[in-house]
Amino acid sequence: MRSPVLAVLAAVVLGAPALAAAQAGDAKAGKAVYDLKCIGCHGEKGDGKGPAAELLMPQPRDFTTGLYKIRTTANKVPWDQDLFRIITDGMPGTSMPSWAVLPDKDRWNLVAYIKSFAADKFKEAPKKLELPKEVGSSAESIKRGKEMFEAIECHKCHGAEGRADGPSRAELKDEWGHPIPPANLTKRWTFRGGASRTEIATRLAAGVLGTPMPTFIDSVEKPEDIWHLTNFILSLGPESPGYATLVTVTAVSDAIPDDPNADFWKKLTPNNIPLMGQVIVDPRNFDPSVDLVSVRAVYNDKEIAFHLTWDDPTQSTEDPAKKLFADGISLQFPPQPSSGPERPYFLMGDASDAVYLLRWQNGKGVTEATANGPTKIAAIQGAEASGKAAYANGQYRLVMKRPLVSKSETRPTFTPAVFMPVAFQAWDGGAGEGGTKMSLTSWYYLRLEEPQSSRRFVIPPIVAILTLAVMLLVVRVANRRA
Amino acid sequence: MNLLRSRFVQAVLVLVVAFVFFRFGIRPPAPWSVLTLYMSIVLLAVLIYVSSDSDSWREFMWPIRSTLVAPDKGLTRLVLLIVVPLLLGYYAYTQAAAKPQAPPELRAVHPAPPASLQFRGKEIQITGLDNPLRRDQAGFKKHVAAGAETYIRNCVYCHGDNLDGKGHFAYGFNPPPANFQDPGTIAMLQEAFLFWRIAKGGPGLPKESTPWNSVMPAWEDRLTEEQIWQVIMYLYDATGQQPRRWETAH
Repeated sequence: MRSPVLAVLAAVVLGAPALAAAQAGDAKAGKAVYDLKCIGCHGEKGDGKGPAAELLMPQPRDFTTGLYKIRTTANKVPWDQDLFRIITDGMPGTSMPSWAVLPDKDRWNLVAYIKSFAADKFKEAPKKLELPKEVGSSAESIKRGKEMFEAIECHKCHGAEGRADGPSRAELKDEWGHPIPPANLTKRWTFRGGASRTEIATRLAAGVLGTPMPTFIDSVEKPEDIWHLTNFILSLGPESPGYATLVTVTAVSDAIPDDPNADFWKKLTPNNIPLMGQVIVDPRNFDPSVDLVSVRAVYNDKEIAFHLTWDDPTQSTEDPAKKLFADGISLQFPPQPSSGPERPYFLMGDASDAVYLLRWQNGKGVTEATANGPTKIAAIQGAEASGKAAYANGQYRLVMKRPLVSKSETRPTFTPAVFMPVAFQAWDGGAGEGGTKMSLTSWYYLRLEEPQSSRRFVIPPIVAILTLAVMLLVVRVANRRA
Repeated sequence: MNLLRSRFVQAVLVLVVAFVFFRFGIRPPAPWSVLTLYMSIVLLAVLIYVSSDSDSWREFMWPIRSTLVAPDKGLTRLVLLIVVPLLLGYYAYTQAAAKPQAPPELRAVHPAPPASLQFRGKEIQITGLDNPLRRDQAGFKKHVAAGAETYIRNCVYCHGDNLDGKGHFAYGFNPPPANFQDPGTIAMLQEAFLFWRIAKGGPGLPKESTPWNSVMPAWEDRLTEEQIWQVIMYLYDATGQQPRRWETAH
């Protein structure tokens, strides 16, 4: 079966679908690749119990059941192309990477090998999924989609605004009894099976096998409602997070509102910062809950204010009896800006170099602290910071304020047009995060923009007029000589 | 054909062709500063060529001069007098309104390793040190397999399943995790260097390598000496790279 001609012939004879031309793989050759690349997570027996499995969330696929999450078929059997696509593209939001670096042949061989773990499940032929005729997006279609979203109870798991905070969230289990969170529909870039229109519609129509996400093609009123739902889901969030590398603090002349829901904040462009798990100090966090914080920041002549938005499906305060932690977030700065590149260790400083933390904890409000490492945090006496948080539909919005200038050694002073290091940490208490179990960033830069200068309106006309004058002079001199 | 014979058109053509070649013909693309330098040299060469004798120079200058003085070119003159200042004004606007970018983080990527280090209270000589497990040739496969397991339980989050530095935490950190597939990393380092970097992590870096930014943990807290040597064997085996050898002093 080495010859491509034979492979094509085989595909024709076996009646393979017209997606990408499927190639018949060699399971034996696939095993060799599997043992090198896949075994660490999916295990020797293909049961998803490799040495790394216990640390991963979601858990690696158990191939022995023959159940596959992402398929484009109407029955439980995926096309070979479905398996090939996941091996090639990986699954966003999980530990499954893209294996596009492997030659096509290796990937087709892998498909053949992983199918062999549940050969009897593949005796049935895949059945083509017929999607209803596509409906383009419009205000009307989105409205209809929202109605359907409630009618077929998507919000029970995915939440009223799609942030995975529905009331059933805590009870959800996958086929193997592991807890499984619903998808956050506002973060399309984490959709396991892809975020294109067709992919979303296919997930809605065919469901996600092995998870509580059912097949909806028969539950909706009319088949085309699948497309209205798709259009509604697409309207919930941006296509990509557009991560920032610099946090810009805008200069304002008016008073800064305390209310995190004020219109004032909506007009500012968010700086989106990705957060990752803390895996240096025990207890470590391999599956961080807060993966993104949107930062809007402003300053006037007296104070600086940070408006933070992040998704947290469960609102929780500290409760030692129930072993619950408080939700929280913190901004980290060096206590004094240094002239050189040196700064404290990114993970909340160390014994010799402290960091300044401006933080908020649910139930305690906004406080300031000095840290000499993640377990050595001391509150700063004499509160100068204040703030207000609001929680709704799986999302926190928080305003933290502080005077721009500080006379104390432990608090930084913010100066316009200076690059100031900043880092972020966040805790989702409801997911068991507290102490060193957090999500975090390494150092970023923050910069207070200069007060609205008129430079950009003054310099261009001057340049234009000067150019014109020089050109006129040249023409004149040339004419005089002629 | 007459147009092509004009010195001025020839000069402009040479400049355009040179620019297109430098901009699109070089892979990977050259930065703008280099492009500016190359184009200045080309411009200089063209000017020297057209001014090699006075006839040639006059011919070259003729279209410019005629645009400036000829009575029938009045409209062209007017258009140029409006368009050129506007274009330069717009360029000045884009420069004045540009948003500042985060400054680059300068660091030494492969700093010199120390001569020796303290590993959990035990002194280990780094200079001249080879991987002790390589002497156990019968156990090679066993060590690589053990290294693979240690790797996937600890390192994969940042350095990735394919050892290419693209783990699922990788894009959140700066500096980015090392890409072991890149011939510029482990292939040009001795195994003892890797031992030092793994054992001491980010906090063990010298100042010129910005230890405060690195997210690499100090693995001596978590892994044994043998486990670290096993991971190193796995890194070379899985990427097909060879470790650099110590120069023999003679």
